[in-house]
Amino acid sequence: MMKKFVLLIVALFVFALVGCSKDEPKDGEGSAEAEYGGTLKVAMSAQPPTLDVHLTTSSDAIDVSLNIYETLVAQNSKQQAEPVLAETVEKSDDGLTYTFKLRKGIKFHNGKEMTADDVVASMNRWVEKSSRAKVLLAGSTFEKEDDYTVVLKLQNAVTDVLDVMAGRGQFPAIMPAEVLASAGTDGVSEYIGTGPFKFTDWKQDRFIHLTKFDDYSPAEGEPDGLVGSKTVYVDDVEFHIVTDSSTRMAGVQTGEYDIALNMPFDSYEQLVTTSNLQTFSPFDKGAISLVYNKKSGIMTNPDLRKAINAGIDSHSVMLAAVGNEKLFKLSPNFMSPENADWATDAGKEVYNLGDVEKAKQLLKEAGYNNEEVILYATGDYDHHYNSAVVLKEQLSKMGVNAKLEIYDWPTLLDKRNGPENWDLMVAGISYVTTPSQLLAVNPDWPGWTNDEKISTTLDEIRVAATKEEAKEKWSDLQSYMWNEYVPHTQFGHYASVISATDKLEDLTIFNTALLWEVKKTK
Amino acid sequence: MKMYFLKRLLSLIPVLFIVSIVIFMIIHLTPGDPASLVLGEEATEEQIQAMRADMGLDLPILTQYFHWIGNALQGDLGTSYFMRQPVTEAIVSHLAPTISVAIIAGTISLLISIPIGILAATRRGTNTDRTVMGISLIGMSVPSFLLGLFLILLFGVKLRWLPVAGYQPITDGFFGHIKYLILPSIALGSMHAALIARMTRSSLLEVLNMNYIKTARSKGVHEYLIITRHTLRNAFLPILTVIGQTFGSLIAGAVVTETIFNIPGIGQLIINSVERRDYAVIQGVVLFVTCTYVLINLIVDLLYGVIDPRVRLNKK
Repeated sequence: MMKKFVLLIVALFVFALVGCSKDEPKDGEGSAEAEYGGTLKVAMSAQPPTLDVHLTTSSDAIDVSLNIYETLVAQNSKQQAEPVLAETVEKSDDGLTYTFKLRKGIKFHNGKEMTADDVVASMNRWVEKSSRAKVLLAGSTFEKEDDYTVVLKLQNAVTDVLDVMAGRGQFPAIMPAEVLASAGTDGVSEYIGTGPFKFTDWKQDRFIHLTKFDDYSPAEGEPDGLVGSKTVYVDDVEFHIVTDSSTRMAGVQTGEYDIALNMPFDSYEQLVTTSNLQTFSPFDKGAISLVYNKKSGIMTNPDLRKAINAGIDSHSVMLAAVGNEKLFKLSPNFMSPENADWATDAGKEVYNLGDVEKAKQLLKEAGYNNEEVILYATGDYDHHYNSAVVLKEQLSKMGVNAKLEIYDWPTLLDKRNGPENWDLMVAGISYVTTPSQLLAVNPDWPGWTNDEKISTTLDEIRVAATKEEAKEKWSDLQSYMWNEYVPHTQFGHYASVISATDKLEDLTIFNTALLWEVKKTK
Repeated sequence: MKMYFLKRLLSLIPVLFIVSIVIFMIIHLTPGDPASLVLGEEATEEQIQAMRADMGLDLPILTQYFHWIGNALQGDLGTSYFMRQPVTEAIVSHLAPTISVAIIAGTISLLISIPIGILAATRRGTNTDRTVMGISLIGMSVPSFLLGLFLILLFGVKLRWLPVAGYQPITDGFFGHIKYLILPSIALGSMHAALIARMTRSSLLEVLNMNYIKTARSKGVHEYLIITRHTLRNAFLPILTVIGQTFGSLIAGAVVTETIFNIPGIGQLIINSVERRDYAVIQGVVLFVTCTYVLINLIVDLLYGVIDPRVRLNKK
């Protein structure tokens, strides 16, 4: 009896294994004609808090939402603003009015045609909710002129309007007016846009399911970043929430997932040498910086900040942070070095000096008397933590009495809001489209930059007559920020690591994996 | 018996009340709040405070507690700030994967542990005994997450027999459901099997040395009957206790294993909620886990009487 029972169990187990194993196609079978389609499975590291992108700056929310929503203008691959849902954009002579002619026949995922009413409702809500738009476009309003024309009226004739509107964080997604009208304080309850994929389902902590939008109307032109035509070759997309990086790695290796985002830096070499994978390391995420508290404590003294900056060896910090020379770039650019409009190496004379003796001398001249300096970092992100550990050592060599305090991410977000809590903080700084949006110059963001010259020059940049003039002023300001005010010491720029199976064709990476144009054989 | 059952159920009330106070205070006094996490790291202080007010987190902590406990007494555990769904719904949706893993892991551990425990006890001091005890020691010593990673590398990455991670509900197909759960269940079940096997062996050895077993043997009773009828039943109480505890821990959610295998169960729910500071979910899950533990212990206590008439409650 017992033997029979055991045999039954073994038989069931083997049966289950056989039933579970993949059906491998026989030689020659199915290879005759490659047909694109199927479900694209993307493994992401965290679940977005919401897909209402007017409310959140979460990069996970943006990675998903870029496929659902579109904007009036968006970034091309050179991070320059170009029309998407707008057909044309005209600026008035006085620079106070922008007229957006909308493309006709654009359908929302609910079947309704997009008109000026939807655009006005979306854009005005975005100006109200977005932390950047609220400051940079304060007092601006979008008004309907006719069903396909929207006018933006500005308080000041600033020139970076389109760049701000093309920003990635908290982007101005166009949603149906009625969806926005019924939104609560926690955001919209329906995720409806005009993008190439429509929202289908969200299984909490499992996946977000999008399906190809058959009535999608792509813009004209070649695909270029977030603009141009967007042809969809897959039927469905599933964003799987896979918090463990080793699971994402094993998943993409075995084909369980087609694309894995946010791969750990230390797996880079293994991934690039894995034969069935294609691995990307685009420098489009941001930089790692040391933020000084300029509101309270001893770091309000700019001479102290200059002294510490002189002693920092950025190469060592970045190598510890990401562990691979191929995954970081040393550059004093506060903006992305890839940004065609704003990249400048002004300030390079005081960047990455690593001059401990000079730092000691400057500290002495600044009146530093061994006061305790609190250095904040999070342990939730390895590159932040590793940077902080090396930085602490460097500070000790300079003679700075630094105390490293490591917190989990939610705790750090809370504690850093208290100016009296900390002096230094290691932070990741995302790229933005204009200097005015940099966290290094933001008076409200922890660090609390508050400098007359910075704010005046930023205003001048925003009203500069030409791009060249604006860039020259920005170059001068970046030099001033490195040499005089030192709001942050930027260690360097780091790449993100994204892997995909080699079965995918034409996969483009622009901040994240773009899911249009990518082809998957059924 | 009924009175005992009722008393035990009533004793749950003060336990849950104390747990509710402790967990509420701990999580609300821990720095961080859901508003910052929902809005993202670039949100301004003004925006964060506005959302905190919307969530009711700006109220005095005692007001928040009484508001929450009042609703909880009516069966409403609140709404997740992050997932924007009722907490009870979130628990139910995350419970199915956990129960599936618990059942499969529990079955695997029992099928392995009881026979090898008996084998080791009946062959005490032999190489078989030493091998079984050695393997069980390794089983107890190797953390389930490490075993899980080895299993992923072998059966997932190398042999490609089973998926490395994920979950498929049973409603989408039985085999699909099972194939995602085999590896995590083995990873979890192995440690429990080792524990139960050792307990089975030591418990059996104690009974095997008793005089009535010697008498049975001297009367010529078959060894199989001695083990199954006379020894195992009398030795089963401590084994049952361990089984109850291990099953309780499986239901409470195997946090690390669920994370490695990406199973959206109770363990992942609690760890994600802590990371998100999703207070309502943390409170709800802790209350649920407390209830589960107490009820499993109660069931185990009642089973004592079923297995061993000497401990039946109505017999003095």
